[in-house]
Amino acid sequence: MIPWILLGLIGVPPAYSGDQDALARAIDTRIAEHLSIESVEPAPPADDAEFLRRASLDLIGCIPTADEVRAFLADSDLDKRSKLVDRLIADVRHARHFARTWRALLLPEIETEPQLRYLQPGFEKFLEQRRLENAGFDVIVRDLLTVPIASPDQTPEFVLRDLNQPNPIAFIASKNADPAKIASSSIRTFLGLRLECAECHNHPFDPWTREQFWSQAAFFAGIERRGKGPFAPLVEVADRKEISLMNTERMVPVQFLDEAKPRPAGTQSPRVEFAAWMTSPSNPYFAKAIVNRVWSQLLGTGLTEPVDDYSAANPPSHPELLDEIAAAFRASRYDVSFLLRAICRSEAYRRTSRLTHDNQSQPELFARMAIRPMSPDQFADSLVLAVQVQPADERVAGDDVEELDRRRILNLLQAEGSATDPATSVTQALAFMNGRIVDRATKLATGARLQRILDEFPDELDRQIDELFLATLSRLPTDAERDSIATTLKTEHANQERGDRLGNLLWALLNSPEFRWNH
Amino acid sequence: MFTQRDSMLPRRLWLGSTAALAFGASLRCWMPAVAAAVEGSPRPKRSCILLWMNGGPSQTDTFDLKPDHANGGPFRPIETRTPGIQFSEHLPEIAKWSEHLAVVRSMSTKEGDHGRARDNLRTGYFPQASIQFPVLGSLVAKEAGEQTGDLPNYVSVFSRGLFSPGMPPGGFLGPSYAPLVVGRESDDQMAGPPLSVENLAVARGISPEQVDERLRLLSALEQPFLAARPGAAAESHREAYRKANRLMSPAAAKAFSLDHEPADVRDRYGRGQFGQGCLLARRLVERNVPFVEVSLGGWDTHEANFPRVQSLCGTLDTAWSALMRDLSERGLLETTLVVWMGEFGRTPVINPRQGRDHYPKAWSVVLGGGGIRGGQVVGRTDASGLVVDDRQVSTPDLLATIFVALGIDPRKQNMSNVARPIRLADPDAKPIAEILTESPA
Repeated sequence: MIPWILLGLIGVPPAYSGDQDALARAIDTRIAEHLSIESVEPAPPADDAEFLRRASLDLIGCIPTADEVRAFLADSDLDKRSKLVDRLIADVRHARHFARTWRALLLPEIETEPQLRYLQPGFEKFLEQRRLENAGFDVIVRDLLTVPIASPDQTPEFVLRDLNQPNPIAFIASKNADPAKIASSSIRTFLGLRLECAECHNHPFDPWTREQFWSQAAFFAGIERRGKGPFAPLVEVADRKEISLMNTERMVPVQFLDEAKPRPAGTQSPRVEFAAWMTSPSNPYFAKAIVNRVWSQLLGTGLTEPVDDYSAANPPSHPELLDEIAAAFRASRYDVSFLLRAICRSEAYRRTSRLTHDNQSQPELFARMAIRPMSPDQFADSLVLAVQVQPADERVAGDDVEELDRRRILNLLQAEGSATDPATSVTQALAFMNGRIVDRATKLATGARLQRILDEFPDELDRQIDELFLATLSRLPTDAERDSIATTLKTEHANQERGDRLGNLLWALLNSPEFRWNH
Repeated sequence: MFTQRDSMLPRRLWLGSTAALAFGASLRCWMPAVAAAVEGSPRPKRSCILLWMNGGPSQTDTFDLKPDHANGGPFRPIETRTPGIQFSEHLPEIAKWSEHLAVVRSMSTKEGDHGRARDNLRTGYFPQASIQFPVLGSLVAKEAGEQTGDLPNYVSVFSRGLFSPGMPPGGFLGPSYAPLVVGRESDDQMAGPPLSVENLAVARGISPEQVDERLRLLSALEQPFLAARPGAAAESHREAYRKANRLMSPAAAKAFSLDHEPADVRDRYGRGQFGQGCLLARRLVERNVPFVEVSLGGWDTHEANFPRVQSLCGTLDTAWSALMRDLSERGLLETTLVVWMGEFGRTPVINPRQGRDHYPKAWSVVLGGGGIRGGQVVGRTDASGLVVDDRQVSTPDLLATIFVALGIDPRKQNMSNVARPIRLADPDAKPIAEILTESPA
């Protein structure tokens, strides 16, 4: 066992008094130090359109509309980027995006066990509501871990409630109410530590022992399912505070990872103490783990990578910086808005993703913005917005076509793993080239976006091209692009309908990586 | 220009030609980087068809019967073509191919959870230090080198549930070695017939001229964007679109179309998904695809084991024997390794629900065809079937055996995502020499 002090608390910096600009400058300083040591010239700031698109995707989970792009480009306010970030965080879609992002991390089982999808709306609703209240992240974590569960002599706790009511119990239910799974999953996500390798055996390189693993599981040992399957109602024997070590005779008692013993709490569930310990300001891992997640969501690479593998053998790229942001986050009482504002004000977040000098490609230097894949939700919402799928006459009995399309996109992208590196599979390429959604969007008869542009600007080819660029890539074409495309569309294949030709351009835009990625 | 294009002209050709006319300099991005990839080891000698029994098949009711023990259950053994080797009475057709099959009755592995055991058997490794271990199909696809024709190196048929969401397909080898999935993942009826590659054909009503113009617009658009953002993502995008275009060629599309098979051949495999999947596997190895897996689910028989296993054996016996016959008649048996396995076996002890539960401690796999000395049984379990008595075989041993049978050195290394070289099979692996036609190097 390595004590906290060696792993975490080296040089605790002074707390920031809630000043997001001060934190942003501290980020700039630390990132610049490393760039300078490595002699790497960072990329210049992104232009307005690139920044608007990125911030919109990161904060509300969707690209901006053509009108929003135009307005942002025309805005002469020097502080418009920070104001944009504030505006996006205040947007109701931000809470929804936050809920989806964290749902994917907290209930990953939904992707493999389709029946668990019934838990999704209520769980996202819970996260969304908490985010709308700007509840501290510690509050959210305590909610998840200490959700009330009836005692055996009471009516068991229903897991599947009104689908659209906030339902924090979904976290425990999705782990099959299994103490070991609940413990390892929460420790991995909220503390950035991987204990599960110690479930079966002590690992030679990890400090965690098998006993320690099971001591964590012991906090959840009282939870029992009444019946079978993931939706079985739950009860909890609150004074059960030990668990059998991997089906052996040996019983392991509750004990915190820093070897402190929980206070005897009588009939209160040991989960309450576990949650308090986990989110306590004196727990050096909690703030760091959340900060590191949010940082990697915004910049593509964590300060520790993998984000959930903080260990002595895997030090952060910028240890001081991680400490400083974590301290400020703690001081802010785990205020997610504060954290987002500060990171989005940093130079690192505002750089272009273009390579402008050599050596800018090492992700952990943050010399240029990483290119990131869109999440399935980000992509589905952006695509629907860009093309305005709108075939009211094509309604399949009782189904909302838009929702059906969304689902199909989600299925397609979900099948394709990695959340960090955008990787295109052959399956995806085929779907975007030949699939039904893009096909309908790019045919005049079914493509609402095409129809609108041709109605509004019937004889202005340049304007049509501009509108398609704004709607999809969230920018205007360069003059060279506009000229070359206009020439192609005017001269080639004159026998094609003009709607078809504009559809060809829309097809190319939707298939381009610039549309598919968050860059 | 190509105004009077022959519609049967392979798509790849006209794609290449028109791209060359329009953007001489950009041609490179659509064409394979052959020179860079061909160097290195020779292609494997053989293709592999993996029959993946998802859920964990019962060894006691298939290839390691215990008729004289209470654990044996109701199924009787029958003689095979090989004297002294017996299979279950519900595998009568595959019993006729025993001379080409080696049964390993002494698999002993460590993992009894479906997901973790599946990943262990399919990658050869246990999770460690965030290494994204690639599955067998990806490893073989990589050893096969740059895809030579229009078809991919790794095709996975009905692979629903075979890949963990956290595990990128292709593992640390990257999406180039991810499988092409055949058989739709969703239950969505609009996605096309069940055994097909989704979205393989150009959308209805789109003329070749339009396709042509679209691809040229795309190429012009993405060129500056990707050039300014070099790296794995850009490469992956270019490669996926290039391969997708090749896959859309008439010749490639034909490989996936079972309509070209006579009705009696299709019947012989069984008209269910698994049977037709095995027929597709044969069509693909005929066209030199190095690795095809076809999965058959339903083996997780915690309850009512016997009627369910009997029914699954019917499906399996029909399809697998038809596959062996076709491979043999077409001279492909020597160049095709066929592997039958799941993630673990099942408890010899029958539970109160007439089911059998997960059992990794003593179970069976079967290898056959190319590279394998058939007509053999390796290893032995005791009378109860509970423990391996002789010749214990581990997951790495099995994977190493498969590599050697394919003509691949299992000690070869790939660079992993944590910048540590990883061998194809664990360094401790010992190939099962007695069933291999060629000794490991």
